[in-house]
Amino acid sequence: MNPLGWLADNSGVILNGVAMGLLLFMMAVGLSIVFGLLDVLNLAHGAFFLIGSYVGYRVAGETTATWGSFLLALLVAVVLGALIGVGLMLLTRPLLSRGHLDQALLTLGLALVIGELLLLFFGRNDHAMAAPPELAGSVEIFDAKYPVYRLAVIVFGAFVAAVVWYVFERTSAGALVRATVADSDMVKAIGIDVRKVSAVTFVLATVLAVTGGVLSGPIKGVTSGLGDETLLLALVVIVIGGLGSVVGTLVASLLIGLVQNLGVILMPEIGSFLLFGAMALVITFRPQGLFPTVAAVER
Amino acid sequence: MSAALTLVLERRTALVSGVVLVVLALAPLLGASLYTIVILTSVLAYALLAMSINLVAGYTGLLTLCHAAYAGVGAYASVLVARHLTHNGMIQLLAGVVMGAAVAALTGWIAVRASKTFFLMLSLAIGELLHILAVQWSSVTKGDNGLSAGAPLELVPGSPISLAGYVYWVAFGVFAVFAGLTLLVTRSPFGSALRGIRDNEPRMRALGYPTSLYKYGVWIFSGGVAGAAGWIMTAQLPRFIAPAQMSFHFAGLMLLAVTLGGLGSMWGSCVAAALIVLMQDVVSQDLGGQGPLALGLIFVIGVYVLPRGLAGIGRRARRSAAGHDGSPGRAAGAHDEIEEKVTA
Amino acid sequence: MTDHALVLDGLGKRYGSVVAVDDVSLEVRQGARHAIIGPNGAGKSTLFALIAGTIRPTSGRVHLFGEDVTGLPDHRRARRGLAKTFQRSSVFGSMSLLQNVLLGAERRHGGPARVVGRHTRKAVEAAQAHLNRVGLLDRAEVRADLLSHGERRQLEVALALAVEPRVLLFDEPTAGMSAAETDRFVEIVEALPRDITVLIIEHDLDVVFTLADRVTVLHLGAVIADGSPDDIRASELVQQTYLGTPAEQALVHDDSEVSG
Repeated sequence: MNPLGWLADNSGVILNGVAMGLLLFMMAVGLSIVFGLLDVLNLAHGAFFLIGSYVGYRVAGETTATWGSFLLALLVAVVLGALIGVGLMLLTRPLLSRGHLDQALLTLGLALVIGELLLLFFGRNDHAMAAPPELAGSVEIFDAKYPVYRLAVIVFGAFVAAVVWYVFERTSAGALVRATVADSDMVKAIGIDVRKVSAVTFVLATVLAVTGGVLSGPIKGVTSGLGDETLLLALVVIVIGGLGSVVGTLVASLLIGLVQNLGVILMPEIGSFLLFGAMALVITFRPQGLFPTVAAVER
Repeated sequence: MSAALTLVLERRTALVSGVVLVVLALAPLLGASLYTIVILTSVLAYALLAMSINLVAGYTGLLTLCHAAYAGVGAYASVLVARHLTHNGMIQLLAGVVMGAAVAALTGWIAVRASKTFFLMLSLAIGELLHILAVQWSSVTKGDNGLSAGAPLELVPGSPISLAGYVYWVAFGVFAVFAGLTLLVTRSPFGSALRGIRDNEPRMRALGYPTSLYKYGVWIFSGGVAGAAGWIMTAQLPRFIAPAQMSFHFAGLMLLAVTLGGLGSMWGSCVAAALIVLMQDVVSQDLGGQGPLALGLIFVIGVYVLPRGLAGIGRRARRSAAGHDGSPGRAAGAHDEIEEKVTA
Repeated sequence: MTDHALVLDGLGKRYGSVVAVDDVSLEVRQGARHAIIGPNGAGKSTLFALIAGTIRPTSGRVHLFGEDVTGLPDHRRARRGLAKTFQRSSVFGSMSLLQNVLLGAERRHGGPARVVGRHTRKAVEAAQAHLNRVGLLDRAEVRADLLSHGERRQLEVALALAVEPRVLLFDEPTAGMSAAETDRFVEIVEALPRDITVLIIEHDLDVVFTLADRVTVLHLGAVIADGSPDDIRASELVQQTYLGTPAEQALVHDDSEVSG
């Protein structure tokens, strides 16, 4: 069995895996850094992703979309994400003194409420979302047709990943975030308002999640279970990738995107279990993940 | 003096609980409708599940999002036994309890080694894994369509119990036994040790307690209790279970309910469970079908307003006394951080 | 080797390039009253954590009653007779004082893992006796998180005694105690049976020189002096690194009256 031939035959699946992985990255990187920063597991993150996909379906359109409506959807997503991020920060502020688990419980409650509200407004049925017409077609790759939209998502996702990586690893703002993740007391001691750092990071994380949701619409559709599903995958990603690490999240997201998609083909029954098995193994034997950051090591 | 006050307040709780239990037990005789009986059976199931969650979350400090799935495992086991093996209700119950405990044992050994926030994540993953299993293993579970036992349970071979009132009494008996066992455990030295682990695990280890074993032990036990709750869920006709009862949504709801009832307060858990059933099934129509939403909102507000849950309301009256229900209060969460800053 | 309760052999702990404990070797005889002193940051608490097993050493070995326990986790060492108090009071906040001490007493007298039944009478009586020893018996039903700082330190002592250990590690036990409480603590330690070995980290030098028959001085993680209290008091090296100038010495002596 010729490996190149195999790759060519399964190129569609592999590209799917990369696309999904990059969307997952947008979801997970925010979760990972916020967790590393504030020690809060934001269980509402999946609901944000879900909100994004509903926004996409409503604003861009279910069967046809124009560039205008699509871009509008993205804009709404960004604004909404920012508002939600700020709102959530304000909501959790009074609970800061009560411990991280109380905050986790709050986000849990929010996830439930948001899920119910979405069901209320949009009903229980599944929906679809259309891609803009220029991206709606397919191209030929290795003798098979492949949707252009997914290629566009890969390109855009890679761009977002590159930007996030650059900001995080190479700018002073990113250095500030990394320092706060590693040792927030030290950062406070230098005189920096950690709350501002946290607030901005939080808002960015939320924006990324909502935007990822919009982008995923034409690929995954809009279903009420999407939020839980994506949250779960994101959790696996951040555990395997390492808390508070952008590179780790990226590698893990791509890995999991590929496993999910290839797994459906190669090992249909056990695909999901592979992921959770891997997660369990990592938590047991290497809890700091594949790319540990300093903060993760101390936990 | 404070010891006497504790005693009086505890006696009062016991008295009220006793009265409520007697009324519940006599419900079929007090003219309750079929609908009410079925609802009350649901309440018993949810209350037992809530107690199993409280045992690990409230008493031991292990917040769990997978006990709803353990109950689901128990329910599926009961129904599968009913379909393929025997109509005997007690054997079905045994299957439910054993499977609940076994799955808890299998999944718990990694869980108890994780730190607090990792633990929440891991329990979420375990719960969802079991949920996915229920959906995908459709050859056995019929997937999303759910599974029905097909026939009423029997205690005596050949005499199916089809009257809801009688089923209710059997379920009540099962509830009483398992709830009673759970309460016994909380009042034992083992229970004290669990609370010690919750309050300050490093200190317990310094006293020589193998804390991981204790956590594992209570985890398995609670898995069995959850399995029993699963059996109660499928006791009344149509004896139906579907994967939706193992979802993250339901698990989250139960954990929030137990927290709202008061971590470490068993009666709080039961009240919260009753609230869930009330809002979701009984009152939902009046709220335009928005029972679940109202419930979610109640819980979110509750997390703010009642830091120690419902049980905390009465606590102001007895601030200086320590009760046997051992609500964690301020102590919980304070030991999330690394135990000692070694600066000296 | 066997008449030593504790032997530390080249014990060391480093965090990256930071050396917290530096090649410490120590032999503690059974029944000793051994004090460990040194300025802040000297590595004393880290040393205790290494002895108790809450952290793993990066070098060296720990022997308890002749047995190499370096590989054993903290709870296993506790079962072999090691008890420790914590530098920052570490009690069970939601439980009453009696319940707190019972957790220790059950280990000694009862079956702490019993899933049904109540605490044994022996355990309860022992717990009450320990509380009485530290003067907290009248507050037995009070929740531990409602105690004052000094009372919490006393509870720490009661907890450590409740398991009836063979080796006791006291980590700055009198920090935050009033003069009366400190005196009481000294009485308790003096009254302990001679077959119990006591190691104590202390800043209050009056306590040290009253109780200890041997003193080790740590500085920057390493042992700089080790001998009888008189030797240490006389040592110029120790005076320079730790006790400082006569003005600072005077401050040190006033400390025990100011606290509490």
